[in-house]
Amino acid sequence: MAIFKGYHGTSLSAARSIITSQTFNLTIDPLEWLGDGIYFFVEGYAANILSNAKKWAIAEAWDNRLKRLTYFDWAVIEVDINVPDDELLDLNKYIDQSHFNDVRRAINNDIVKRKIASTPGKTNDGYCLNYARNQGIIPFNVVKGDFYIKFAEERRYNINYRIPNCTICAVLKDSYLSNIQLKVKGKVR
Amino acid sequence: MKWDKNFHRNLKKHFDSLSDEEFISKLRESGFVIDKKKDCKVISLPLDDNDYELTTFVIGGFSQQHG
Repeated sequence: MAIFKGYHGTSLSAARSIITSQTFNLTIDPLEWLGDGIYFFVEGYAANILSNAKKWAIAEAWDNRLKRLTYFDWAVIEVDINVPDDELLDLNKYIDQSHFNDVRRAINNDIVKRKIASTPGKTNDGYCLNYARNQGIIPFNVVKGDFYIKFAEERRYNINYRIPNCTICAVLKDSYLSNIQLKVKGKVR
Repeated sequence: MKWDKNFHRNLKKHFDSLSDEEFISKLRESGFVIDKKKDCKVISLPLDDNDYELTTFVIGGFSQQHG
């Protein structure tokens, strides 16, 4: 069993709702970094996970389409993630990454071979992870990996990098989450 | 993750067992957007381990970046 802390940045009102209900809404979106799941910053690449979750909560307050803040109070929720070892796909491990790459290549090759026209998104990793899990090819319920994520400053100045700045995790089963609590909160400035 | 020693054989079997319609249905279940089938122009390439980058480009510009 793997046990580690996860930090989820959001608005204070959403955080209160999560804590009251002790449940998270599952994000269903193949365009997310790791496909469908409940997302957390976790230990790995970055030294200060809590700081990343805070920066994410602040960055998400700004709606670039509406050109305004959608909330003024942010919060970070801390959880314990408990996952059986054989349900954790750790993309920082060579063997896990290698097998995922094989699945991704097999999907892509079959799309080409069968002459199927698919409209890709900005990233297709989430689609391929969804496929691998939905079809039981890789029966994971938690997946984690290193990514470069844009926070407020990078978004404001449209700065792009590739080298990861954090490790994130997507959890497919909320029964694998426990000790859901408010860790820190503050004002968006 | 614990990996079955037959993982790659089972992976091949999975794709070999699917008809085009079944494959498209499974792609859609996972969020893929399928435009149309068969009448699209796709450049046919000999595929091997070294062709991954080129292959992904041909089917529509896969990118590492997430906005």
